Amino acid sequence: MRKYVLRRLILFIPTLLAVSIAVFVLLRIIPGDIAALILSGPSGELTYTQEDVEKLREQMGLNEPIYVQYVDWMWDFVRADLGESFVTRLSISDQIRRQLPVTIQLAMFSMIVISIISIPIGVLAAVRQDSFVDYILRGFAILGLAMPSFFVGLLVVLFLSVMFSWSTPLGFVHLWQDPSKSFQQLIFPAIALGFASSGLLVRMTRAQLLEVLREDYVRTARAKGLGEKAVVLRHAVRNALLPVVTVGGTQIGFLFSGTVIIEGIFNLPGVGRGLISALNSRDLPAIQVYIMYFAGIALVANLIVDLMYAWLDPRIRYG
Amino acid sequence: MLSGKLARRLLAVGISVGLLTVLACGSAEEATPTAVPTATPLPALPTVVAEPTATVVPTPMEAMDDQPQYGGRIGKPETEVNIFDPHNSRAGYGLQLGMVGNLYSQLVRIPLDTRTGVEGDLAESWEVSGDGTEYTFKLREGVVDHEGNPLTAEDIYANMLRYVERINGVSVRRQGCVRNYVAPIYEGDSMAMAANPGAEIIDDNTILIRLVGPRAAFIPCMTGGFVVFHADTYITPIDTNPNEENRDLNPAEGELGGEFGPFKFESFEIDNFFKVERNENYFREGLPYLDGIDVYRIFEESARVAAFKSGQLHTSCTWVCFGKANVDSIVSDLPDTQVPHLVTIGYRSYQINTRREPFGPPGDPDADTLRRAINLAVDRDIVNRLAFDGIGFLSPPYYVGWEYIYTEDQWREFEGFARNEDKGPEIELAKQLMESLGYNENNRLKTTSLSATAGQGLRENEALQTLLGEIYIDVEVIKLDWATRSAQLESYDFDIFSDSVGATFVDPDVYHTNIFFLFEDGSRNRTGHLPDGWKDLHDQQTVLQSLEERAPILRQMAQLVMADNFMLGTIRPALQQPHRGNWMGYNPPVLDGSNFSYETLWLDQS
Repeated sequence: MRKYVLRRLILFIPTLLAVSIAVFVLLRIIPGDIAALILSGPSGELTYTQEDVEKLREQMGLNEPIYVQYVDWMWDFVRADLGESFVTRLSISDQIRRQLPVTIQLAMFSMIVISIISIPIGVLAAVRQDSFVDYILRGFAILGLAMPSFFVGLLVVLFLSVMFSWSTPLGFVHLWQDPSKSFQQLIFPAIALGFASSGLLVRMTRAQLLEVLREDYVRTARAKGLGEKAVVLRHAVRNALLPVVTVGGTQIGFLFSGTVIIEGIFNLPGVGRGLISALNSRDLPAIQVYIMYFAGIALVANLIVDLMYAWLDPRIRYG
Repeated sequence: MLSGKLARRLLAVGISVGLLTVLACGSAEEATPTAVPTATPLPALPTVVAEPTATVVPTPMEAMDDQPQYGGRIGKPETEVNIFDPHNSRAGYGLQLGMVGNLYSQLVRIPLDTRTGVEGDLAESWEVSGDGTEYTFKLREGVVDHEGNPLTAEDIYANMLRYVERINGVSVRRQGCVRNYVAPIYEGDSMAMAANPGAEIIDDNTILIRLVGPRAAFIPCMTGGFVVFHADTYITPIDTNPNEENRDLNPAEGELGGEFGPFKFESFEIDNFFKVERNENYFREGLPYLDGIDVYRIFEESARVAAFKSGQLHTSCTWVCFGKANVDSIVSDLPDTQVPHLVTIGYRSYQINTRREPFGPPGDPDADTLRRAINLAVDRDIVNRLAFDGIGFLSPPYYVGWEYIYTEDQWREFEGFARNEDKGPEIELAKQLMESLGYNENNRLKTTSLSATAGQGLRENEALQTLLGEIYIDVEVIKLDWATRSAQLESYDFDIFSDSVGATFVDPDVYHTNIFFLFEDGSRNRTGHLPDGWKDLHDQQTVLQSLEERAPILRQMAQLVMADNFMLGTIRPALQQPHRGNWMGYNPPVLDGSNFSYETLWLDQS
């Protein structure tokens, strides 16, 4: 197992290198001059001379060959020097450090929402198979799968605004600073973000539970006189949840990528909104770091899922 | 089967989750704290010796009759909340523009009530030397910054040094006129004082500012919203440290002190919020009325609308951040909302590349005819409807509010500017001109226009496409980001280009006197053409102090430009700034280089 983890971790390196080369090159071959963009100001309202552009390009090292720029950047990157934002001239490390807790809180909230919603609903749908309740709950699950999270987010904003004249409180605070306000700020984006995953997990839970409920050991449990509650909760659900938890693990990467849009809609100053801001202002160093961050999240999430397989099912062994 | 009891329990879990979410809506922070009545009349300000240089601008909202209740805080959105340094153009534009007037004071400013003329701010009075090159400012006594340090000429000097010498490479791009008008303070590249420096401390309360030559627009330049002065507490240590290259004031490190304005910095978190509170040391007695302003970064328009409707916001961003449909929706839900359509001063035009055939060169009869036909075909009112929701303002060469040059009706008499209902003959003439050049339905001119990728910039190009289609011209709209377009413009690699100079602060003459000052360095005239004689006229009017003397020259300059049909003024979009009612007749000021000070603002707390 240790060997497997080590090998997977080593494989991170070429993957991240490939991502870094792709993002570095792609950002530089798209048309436009970043120096001109910066000099033209946030709204394109400022004028500049070609001399200004040249001076700034020189300062930013943009006149160097692209491979030199790449090597310089990677060398800084591996030394954890993520550089400065072109736009704000502030440290990107500080930026990520400030934004990451927001995104982690949102993802955690989403996982909690997913767990609270999807498992009871999936169980209920299974035990009430082919009933009216089952149809409603399956409809809910399909709705979740069909609607992208940004659309759910907009609907939630609209619903709260129209129905309750309410919107999430402005000015983000962390859970440990003001739990009540933070809860109000996080719960709705967490629902929007987790809705799609909930749909998937409801269907997974239902399907797995139905399969387990037909197993011999469930029949045996019933035959020996156990109550239905004990049969479902103690014998069936536990076994049915193994693949559900695994699939739930795969949703971590999905949740983090979903934050890109959801954080914008719900005004959360997390990494996702940071990426959008960086893209809007063509802040190349920041974009590169954000892409590397999301690539890293995807790699780690996949590794966790693979490890969970072995943890949940002792029959699985990694050579 | 599962017992009904278990099913009920599972349902209960679901309901509990639902209830929790509903409960979460219940206790949002109150957006409008209790009011504290502190009504005090504005003290009389000294009359100035300078000539007023701005005419009355349209004020779309009348004063309201409700009784004022002073105090409270207002919430305001911005699309960006990052660094804040009034001397640095990299900082978030909307946040800066919206807050400079609240945090800082100026030497002179445009009065907040009338929005005409000039009044002393930190300066009590000033005198101009006989040759118009030296301005001596007497500072107001008793002014202290928010930390209680008295205002001295040293403070003004430190800011002037930054503006003129750009120490540390700080951009000060929005204070361009100060750099252009004021003489160097240092000798060449050295740090040695020039023989006749641009700024000179006479005594603790007096500073002399020396210009490179007489400049009629110097005082208007100094009223520009970004020409602010704050204590030298933080800027001097940065500017005198040789290692501090291109360093910004950093509010996160507390370097936002020394405000002489109505509010002082309270708290700030990048990407999140920017809060200011009442400055108890403000020198105007009883002001400001509000207790504070909370600026929030709200990225998405839907979130801004929701926050506005839920009462957490009281006004819009400094710049445009609500589309017309959303403004209508807000007004529909909150009928007391006021929506002034503010004229932004600037110039918006279709520019034609006269270096490229068949549009040039000027003087070639066919090229001149073609440009004339295009100008005639452009129906400014249709552009307004298609691109600006019909709420824009005519954009002739000078701001329509400066009626000392031309009234709007007079502008409308120029060829091509006819109102929509009178446009028929102009279009007919345009067709005839095109036919005289050999174009018709079977032989259409193919051309391109460089466009923004979205928004008004794209829509006005699509409008052009529609309008020119009527006169046998097929326009392909090429959508590019600003940086790419800039690169193409630099090399004159375009046919037609739509441009806006409305927000530039490089030269505040744009706002106060004359849009065509920008032609001097060619930076915004992309056409490659400058009419003969224009520069001579420009130089003549620059040194004239009297509007009566300047106006005829400005008119001649405009006529030269309009005769050559190479920059076709179109429509300037209005800023829709919805805000909650009862602001004591307050209109967020037009962007005429003045500021967005909220010192006389009060809210209805009833």
